[in-house]
Amino acid sequence: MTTAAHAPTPTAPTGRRRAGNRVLLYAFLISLLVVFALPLLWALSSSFKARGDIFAYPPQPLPLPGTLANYRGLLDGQPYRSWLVTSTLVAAISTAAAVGLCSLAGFAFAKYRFRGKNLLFNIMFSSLAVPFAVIVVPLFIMVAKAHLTTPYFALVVPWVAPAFGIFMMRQYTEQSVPDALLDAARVDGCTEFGLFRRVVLPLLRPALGALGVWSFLTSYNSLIWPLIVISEPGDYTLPLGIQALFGATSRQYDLVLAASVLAAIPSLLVFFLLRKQLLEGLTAGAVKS
Amino acid sequence: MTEPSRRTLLRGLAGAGLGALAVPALAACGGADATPVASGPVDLRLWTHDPGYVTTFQTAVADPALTAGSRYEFAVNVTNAAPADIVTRMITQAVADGNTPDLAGVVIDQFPRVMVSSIAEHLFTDLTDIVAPFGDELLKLAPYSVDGKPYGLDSDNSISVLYYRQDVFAEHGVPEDVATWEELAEHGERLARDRDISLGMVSTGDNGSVVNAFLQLLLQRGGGAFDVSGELVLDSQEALEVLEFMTAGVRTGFLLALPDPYGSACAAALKSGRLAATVMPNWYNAYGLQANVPDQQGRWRMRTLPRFTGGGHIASTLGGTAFTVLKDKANTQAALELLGRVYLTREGQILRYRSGGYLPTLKSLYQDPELLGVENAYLGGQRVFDVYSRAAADLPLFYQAAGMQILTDVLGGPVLDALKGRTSPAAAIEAGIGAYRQQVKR
Amino acid sequence: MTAPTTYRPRPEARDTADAPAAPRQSWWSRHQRGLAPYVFISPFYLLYVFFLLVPILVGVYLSCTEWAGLGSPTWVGLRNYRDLLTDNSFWTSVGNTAFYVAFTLVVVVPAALLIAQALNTRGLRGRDLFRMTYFMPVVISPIVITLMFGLFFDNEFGLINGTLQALFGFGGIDWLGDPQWAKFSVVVLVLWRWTGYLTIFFLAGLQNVPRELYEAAAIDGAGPVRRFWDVTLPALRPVTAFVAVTVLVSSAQIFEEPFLLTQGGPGESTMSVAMFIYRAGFQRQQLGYAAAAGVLLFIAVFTLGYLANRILGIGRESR
Repeated sequence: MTTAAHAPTPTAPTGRRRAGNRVLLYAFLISLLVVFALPLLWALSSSFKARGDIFAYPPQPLPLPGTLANYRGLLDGQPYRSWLVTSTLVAAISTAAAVGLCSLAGFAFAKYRFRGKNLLFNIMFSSLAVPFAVIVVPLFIMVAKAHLTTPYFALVVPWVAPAFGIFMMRQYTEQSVPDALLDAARVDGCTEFGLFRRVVLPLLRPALGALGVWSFLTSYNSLIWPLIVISEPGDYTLPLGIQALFGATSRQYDLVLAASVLAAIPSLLVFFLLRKQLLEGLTAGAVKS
Repeated sequence: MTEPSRRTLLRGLAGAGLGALAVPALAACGGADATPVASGPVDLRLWTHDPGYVTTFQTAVADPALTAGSRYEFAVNVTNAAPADIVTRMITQAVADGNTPDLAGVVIDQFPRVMVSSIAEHLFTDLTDIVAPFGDELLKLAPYSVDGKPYGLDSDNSISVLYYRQDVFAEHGVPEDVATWEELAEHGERLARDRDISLGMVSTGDNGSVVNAFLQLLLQRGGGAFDVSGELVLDSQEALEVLEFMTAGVRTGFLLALPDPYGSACAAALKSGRLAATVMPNWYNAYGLQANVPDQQGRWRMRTLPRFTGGGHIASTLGGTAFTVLKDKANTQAALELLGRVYLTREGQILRYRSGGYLPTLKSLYQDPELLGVENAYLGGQRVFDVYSRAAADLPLFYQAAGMQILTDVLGGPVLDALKGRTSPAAAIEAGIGAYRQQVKR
Repeated sequence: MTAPTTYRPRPEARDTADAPAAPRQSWWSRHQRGLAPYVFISPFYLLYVFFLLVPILVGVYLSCTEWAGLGSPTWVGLRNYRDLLTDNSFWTSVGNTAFYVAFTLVVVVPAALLIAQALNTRGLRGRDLFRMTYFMPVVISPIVITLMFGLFFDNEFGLINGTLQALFGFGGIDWLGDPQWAKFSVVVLVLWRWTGYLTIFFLAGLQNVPRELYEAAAIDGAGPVRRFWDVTLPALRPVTAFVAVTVLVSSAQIFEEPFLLTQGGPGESTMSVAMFIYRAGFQRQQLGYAAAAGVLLFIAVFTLGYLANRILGIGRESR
């Protein structure tokens, strides 16, 4: 819902200066593009090289001659599909739950007054500062003694309401949701949950997108916790599988590169799907009313 | 994907919470109530970091020559994980009465982690009785022994040899039978100056690689990090001499400083021909050379190490992976039997060499006609056991102790500083020893 | 600990918003406004009690013991803490971590804001391509990052030294082997890996800055820089505060970048506190010592985060 007319104001600098600014802007963005894209291109290109050519010196930018052997070796010789499915499912479930729970709690912290709010907020906030290495062993013992070490429990449930997300949604709610709008909806007889669903969530779309991306990545890339809690090869996630490939004495670089390139796809897909959310906040016009 | 009912879930969590709070209860580990499987089909859980061991055990259980006469029908169920993760996971699983493996491959530099606080004793079966009949015939028990009891059988004798580019040596007039390191260093200095070619490497990456490279030469020179009783013996003339030798080598270019022997820089060094010789163990043939420079097949050879004029051995050792049997489990007996069949018989040792290039740990095998006849295609058809058997006869013993990990951490920095010329070798060794004493005191 | 079911009458005037509703209502609809926040935040606290509080308490207990992972922990009182205070390695890691935190706050966060602002320019072409590419570093497997940066930074064969050599005839910087340069290399990796990712959060915040404010400022003759200071920054305050505080808290626990790039080396010159904890716990089996360092790290990080919250006004009630 962008307003059709941009606002080239009469007082704007001369056209020449604007054009100069544009050139600078694009130069800046494109040079960053190179810096950020280089590694993925390197990984992509190397994943099509034979093991012995990956570290050729001086480096060869293109895989000539290219080979699919790494991908074939990975897909035929390793349970790669199972890793991919487990990782993607776990991350997707976690993301859906985290986005819902965090935005709900963030809304509560941003827009309600209630007894104990400051204390509760500080407790929540303090959990951000807990070093993972300290809780990991006791947490594992609890989960293992309760026989809950399946990936769909152990990799999901303890992490579905991260303090990071709550904190984040609280800040965005504060920034983007005017009190007046909430009061107006209450006058119209909206229930508190209805407020959240019909008023708050639509206003939070960009933040929900950002949280979704964060949540997916956190779950999808997590390594240390799965390393300890998952011991059945059938339950391996992608980072575990890749770590095991790399742990072999021969450091199976060829397989690792192919696995990493394929592993990047779901995350990029999530980002691609959510990119509209990220940029399509309601414009101020809609909020003003 | 069993979905536990809400009540079991809550009860489990509450119980676990209380259990975890009463931490001393954590100590009660090990499924003591496991009834041993005495015969019949047995599915052994095997944890290892390397595909080579997977091949070894899978081939072994399918080989009638190895399993003949057993009460068990063996099968292996493999979990791959990185070396450090295997130990971490084994300990945490044991604490939680969880799923420990039956057989686990523990890489040599991870083993010190279980040497503290009787972890090895709690976790692994004492192999004293099984190895007793072999006496001196069985090699390399020392690094995996705690208080004189062995807890692991190494898969590989890990003999360090000198790999060298025969073509480069010939082209630049370096005799293949150089007798001493000092002579080789002179050639190396010349080649580095004139041709930008180095005849060896030192590691300058993580502390583990730095210290390993140093220890490899130190062992050859007749020194070591720890003695049999676990005392630090680094404060020695040998240590100083070796570090001085390495430092001088880096300064003249005879030795190339690379982060580690497996990474990208090393691959680049091999590929570009700048690294024309290096001291590494037998496994480096497959995992270092063939993996990174398959195109240099036929140009590499290997030989025993040149001596230090000061004395020492013609071989050294680096690396290894011991297989351990977890104790008091239903499959413990079966796992012990399989380990014995694969690791303590001639057939098993030969099978291990064939499936992963692992060198025998039984002395007599170094005179075995079948192995002596082996020709290595990558090394231009060289008969490698001619070299290995001479090396095996003069292999230094490697002892490690619970403090090995700490030593690695505190020694890495100073050794690196010495290699880079930021401090003197004597000061570096002194600093390492001082920091070790300070940290171990705790 | 918390009692989400506590009901209290709310006689405040704010409740008048409920007044126009019908007089005969269910119990829930009469009290929902007071109870809703408790219901909304309850999932977090349930999980907190089960999965965080108990492990934390155990962690605090372990910090007063000597424990290798198996066998019984031995109570040693505050000895671990005393030892930590005289452990040079620990203080080295504290110094390194402080450097990482400072760099992240001073360089990475502003850089992310700048890029977000650039990406938010109206009528920008290729916006999707830019955003997607900037985001890429975080989707690549850490192992590949290790490989690649090892290739870039290597002393002998690295691309960076090679390029420097070709361009300026000198290229002898030992990026990963020199203690000072290695710290620098680690923060370069931090910058590369996280800047593009952080722009997402700023971009999301920028979406809700009313365009009218910019237009009004432009009419008043404010240039881009003035508009940034006068319009963007104030409007983004809650988001900036959030990013700054979470970046502070998470960079104080930095682990992956130094672990991947240098393993804490050379020596211990790039080791962070989180790596120190990991090393004590998972490489040396000193779980009690690791827990004590963890408790200290927690106290420091929480205090810093709390102060930052106060300074940035996050704890305050919104009016």
